Amino acid sequence: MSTYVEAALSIGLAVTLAVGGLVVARKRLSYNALQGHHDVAAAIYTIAGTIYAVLLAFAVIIVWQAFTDTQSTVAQEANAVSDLERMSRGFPTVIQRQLHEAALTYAHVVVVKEWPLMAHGQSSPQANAALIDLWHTYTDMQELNQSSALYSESLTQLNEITNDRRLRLLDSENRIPTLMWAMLLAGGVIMVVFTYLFAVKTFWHHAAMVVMLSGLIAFAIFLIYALNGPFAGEVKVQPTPFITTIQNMEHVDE
Amino acid sequence: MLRVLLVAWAIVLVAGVAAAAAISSGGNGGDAGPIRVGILHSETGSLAISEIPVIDATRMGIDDLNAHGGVLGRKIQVFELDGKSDDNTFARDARILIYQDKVSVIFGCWTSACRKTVEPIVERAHNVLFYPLQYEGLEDSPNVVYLGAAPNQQIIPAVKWFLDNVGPRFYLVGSDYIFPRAANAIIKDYLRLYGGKVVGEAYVPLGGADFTGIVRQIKRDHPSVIFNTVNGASNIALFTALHDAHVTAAHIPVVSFSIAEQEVKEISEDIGTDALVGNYAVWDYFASLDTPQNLAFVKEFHARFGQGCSPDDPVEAAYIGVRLWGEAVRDAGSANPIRVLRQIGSESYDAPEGMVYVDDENRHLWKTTRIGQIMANGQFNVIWESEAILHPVPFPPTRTTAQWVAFENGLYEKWHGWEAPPVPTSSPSSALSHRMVMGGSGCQPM
Repeated sequence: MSTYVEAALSIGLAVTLAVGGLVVARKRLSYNALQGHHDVAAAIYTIAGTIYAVLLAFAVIIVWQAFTDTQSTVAQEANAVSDLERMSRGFPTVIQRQLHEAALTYAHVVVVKEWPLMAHGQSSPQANAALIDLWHTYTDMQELNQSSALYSESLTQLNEITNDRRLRLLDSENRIPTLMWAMLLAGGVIMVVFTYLFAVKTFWHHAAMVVMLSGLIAFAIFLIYALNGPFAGEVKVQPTPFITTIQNMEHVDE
Repeated sequence: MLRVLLVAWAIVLVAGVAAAAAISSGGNGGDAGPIRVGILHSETGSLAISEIPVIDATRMGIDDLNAHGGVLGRKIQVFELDGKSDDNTFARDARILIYQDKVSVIFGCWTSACRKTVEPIVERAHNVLFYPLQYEGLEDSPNVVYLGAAPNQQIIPAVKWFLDNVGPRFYLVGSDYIFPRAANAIIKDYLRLYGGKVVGEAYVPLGGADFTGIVRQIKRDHPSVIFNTVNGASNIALFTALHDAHVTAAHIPVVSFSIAEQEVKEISEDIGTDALVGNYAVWDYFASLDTPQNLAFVKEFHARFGQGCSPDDPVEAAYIGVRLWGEAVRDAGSANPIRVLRQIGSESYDAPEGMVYVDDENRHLWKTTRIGQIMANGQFNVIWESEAILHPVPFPPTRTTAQWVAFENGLYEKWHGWEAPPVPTSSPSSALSHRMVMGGSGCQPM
C-alpha cells in the first residue's frame, strides 16, 4: 500500500471516529449544560492544547531532523568512498586495482545487502567485511606507499567512511520510544474529545471544527509514523548517493 | 484462404507456447516428479582418496534434504557417475548426466583441469555445476557456483601471514597442472608486492613421486617456508623425501594448499605422523572448529561414516553446496538451472565453518580463511583466522583480467590441455598411486 493511500485511510478513519464520537456526545450532553462550563473548558483547553502542540511539534521536528541528518550522513559516506577511489589513482597500478575493487565491493554491498536490512535496524556482515577489507588494503601497503601524502589523506577518508557507516547504522535503529507514541496518541484523543465539551449550537459547525482538528492531528501523527525509522517504510532515505558513486566507479572501470 | 491462415497461426502459437514451456522447465528440471541431480566425482583412480568423502558429504546433504520432504515437496533423485580421475571420462559423464539423465544440477569435479573440462559442457547446456574445491581463481563462469576458496581467501592471506610471521624466503613446489602453476604465479606477484622472495620453484608431473632433487635443492636454498601445491598421492613421496632428508617443520615448515584432514590421515597411515606434525595448511574449514554447527556436522558425519573418517574443507564445501542449492531451488520455486543461477546470489547458509554468503556477482562464497597446524592426532590447531568473512575475488588485482586469461591460455597452448603432458612414470609412482587408492578408505557408510 502506498504512503498516500495509508495516509488517506488513517486520516479518514480518525476523522470518522471523531465525528462518530461527536454524535454520541451531543446526544448525551445538553447544550445548556455545556454552555455553563464553556469559559472554564476554553481556558483548560488552551493550556492542554499548548502542551500537546509543543510535544507534537517536537516529535515532528525530531523525526524530520533525524531523516535529513541521515540523508546527509549517507551522502557524506558515499562521497568519501568516491574520494577514496579517486585518490587511489595516485598509487601504483596494482594497489589502484585493489582499492578500486574493494571500494566498489563496499558500495555495492551497502546498496544491495545492507540497505534492505537497515529497514529492520540490522546491518550486513558482508558490508562490514568489505569495509574491513578496504582497511586491510591500506594497512597492508608497503612502507614506501605509506609515506605518500595521498596515504594519510586516504586514511582520513577511510575514517570518514567508517564513522559515517556507524552513524548510519545507529540511525537505522532510531525509533520514537513507545512511551512517546502513547503520549502522542492519547494526547490526540484527549484533544479531540475535549472539543465535545464546548457549547456549539449547530451540529454542522461543531462537526466541521472536529473534522479539521482531528484531521490535522491525524496527519501530524501519520507524518511522525512515516518518518519514524529513516530506512523503513515508504518515506525512507534512498541509497541514491551510493548508486551514483557505483556508476562513476564502473564508468572508470570501463 | 483465411481459414488456412488462421489454422497455421494457431499451430505456430501452440508450438511457441510449447517451446517456451520446454525452455522454462530447462528440459531437465521439470516441475513434477523427483528432482534429478548428478554427482560426478572420482570413485577410482589417483584422486579417489580425496573425492570419495566428497561424494559421501554430497549424499549426506541430499539425504538431509530428502529427510525433510525434499525440496518444493519433491524428493531428490541422485544420478552418480565415476569420473575415474580422468578428465575425458569426466567430460563424457557430464554429457550423460545432462543429456541422458536430464539432471538439474551437477555436484562434482576435484581438479581445476576437470572443472575446466566440464565447464564448457555445462555452459552450453545452460546447466549448473557446484564445484567444492578451493582453486586458483582466474575464471568466473556464469554456470558454476564456486564453493571453495578463491585466491584471496586462501593463497594471498597465507603469503601475507607467513611473510609476517615466519620469513621472507619462499620455496614453491607443486604438481605440474593448472592450479599449482596459477597459484604460484599469484604467490610470486604478492611476494613482489609485499617484499618477499622466491628462492626456488619446482614441479613434478601429476602423480609423480620423485622429489629427491627438489628436496636437495630445498636444503641448499634453505627457504623460510615451503609452499606446497602438490596434489593427491604425490604428497606421500614429498613428505617422505623431506622426512628422510631431515627437513622438519621446526626447521623449514611446509604450508600445503591441497592437504586436509583426509589426506593427513592417508599420508600418516603410510609414513607416520612425524613427517607431518607442525606443518601447516590453509583452508576455510577445519574439522576441529569448536562451533555448535560444526560439532553437529562432525557428529552426523561420524555417525554415518565412522569415527575414523574426518570431514575436511572440500567435504564441508560439498555439503553446504547441496544445502545452498536446496535453498535456491526453494526460493526460486523451481529446480530449473537458469532460475537457480538467478537466485543463488541471494543465498546464505549458517555452515559448520560459519556464515557463508553467495556473491551475487561472481557466485563464489564469502567465507572466513584459517591457517591450521597439523597435530599428532591428525587434526589441525587453528592458529589464525581472518578478521571477517572475505569477499571472493577470482581475479587477483596484481594483473588485469585479460593478462590472467592470457596467462592461462598460454599454459593451455603449451600443454594442449590443463595439465602438463604425462611423462613416463617410474614404478614407485604407479605403485604409490595404486596403494593410495586401494588403501584410501574413503568414508564408507556405517
